[in-house]
Order: sequence, then structure tokens, then C-alpha cells
Amino acid sequence: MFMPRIFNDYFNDTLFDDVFNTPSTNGNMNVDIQEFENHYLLDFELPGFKKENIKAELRDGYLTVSATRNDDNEQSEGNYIRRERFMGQVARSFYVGEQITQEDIKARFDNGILTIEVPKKEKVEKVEDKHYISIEG
Amino acid sequence: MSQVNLMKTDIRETADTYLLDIEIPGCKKEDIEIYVKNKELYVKVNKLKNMTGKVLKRECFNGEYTRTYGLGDIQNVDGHLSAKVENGMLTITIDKIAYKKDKTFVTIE
Repeated sequence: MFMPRIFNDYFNDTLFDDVFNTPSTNGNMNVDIQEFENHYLLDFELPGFKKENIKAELRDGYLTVSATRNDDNEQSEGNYIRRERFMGQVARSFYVGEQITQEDIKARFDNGILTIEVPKKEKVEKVEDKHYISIEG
Repeated sequence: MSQVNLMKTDIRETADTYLLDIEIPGCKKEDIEIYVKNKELYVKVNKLKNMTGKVLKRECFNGEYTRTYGLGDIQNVDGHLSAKVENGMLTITIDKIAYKKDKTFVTIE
């Protein structure tokens, strides 16, 4: 069946989530994860990022979402009086299992939220073919 | 050290305007209320997310939050403040004319 600790964060221990050390204080984006009967739903907060600067990659069973924002790809006029928003690269990885392929995963970007849907797939055990020999007589 | 990361704002200045870029991920304009009171700009955001699945992790902004920005010595707000929502960002534009002190003449009888 499905793996129990499937969405353990690559960098943070989910059991000890600290109010004062949330991913956003490190510059990383916030994420909500929900489990449904047949799939998982991940919502990443990426306000103000452009879709072309967001990448979602599946490699070795890990789903990595990364996004870049810097002065080169942000066109904004005027001089900054105050700057609070994070500039640079954010990335987070989640283990989804090696049986998931990139065609299985659906993603859409709306209102600054990247929503990714990962189906639940059972691990396929390789079964050895049994070759029976018929016995006559 | 704790850090508030709600509605992070960049403020920039052009020749004619002040602009505020406020992060409001997942919010649409129906979720936002903006008003000016006593030379302060209030931005209230109310976002209720309906989590129908089993919640494994919850970090995103959810709920009601108001952030206030001091507007300095602003004289006349009417018609000089505009806002637009795009891609999870709220951009508020304040014309610098709003700060201009106009003389009000009194006629002598």
C-alpha cells in the first residue's frame, strides 16, 4: 500500500516544526500538503514569481520545486525605499517514490500558488515468471 | 529569532508615485480590503482555505491579517490611490500629488 512517511521534508524534521524556524524565515517557500484517497496535493506559495522562472523536477524519486527571482528577471521601475521580499533562489524537495514518473504529475500555477498533484502508485514488485513444464504420461 | 513573513512588502519610488508591492499568495481581490484612516493605510486580507484532504503539512498563509503602513503627511487621498492584484501580488500606487499642500482661500466679506 502507500508509504506512511511519504512527504518527509528533505531538510526539516516534520515532528519538530518550529514556529520560529519556518521555511519562510530561511527564505524558502511555504507549502501545504494534503492527502486524498488517490493522490497527494501540494500547494507552494510563490507570490510574484513568473511561471518561466519556476521549475519542478522529478529525479530519483524526489520531486524538487525551485524558483528564481532576482533583479535581472524582475522588471520594476523606481528606486527601492524598502525591501522585504526574498530575492534569489528557493528550492524544496520531497520524496515521492521511484514508481512515479513525470507524466503522472500535474502542476498548475495560479494566483501565486503552484499546485502539484501526485498520484498514489503502488510499488510494483517484480514477479519472476514461473515457467511450468507440462508433464505427460 | 522570529520573523514575520506575512504580507512582505517592497516599497519603491518613481518621480510621480510611491508603489507598494505586497505578497498575498493565493488571494484574489475579493479577499482584500484596503482603506485609509488617519493618514495610515490598512491592508486587510482574509483568506480561508478549505482543506478537504488529510492535512500532512500546513505552512501557507491562512486566515485574516491586517498590515498598516504609515503614509506620512498625506493631504488628500481621494483619487490618488489605486491598487491591482496580479499573480499573488498586490500593488498599491500612491500619487505624490496626494502630498501636496494646497492653500484654501477664505473670502473676506
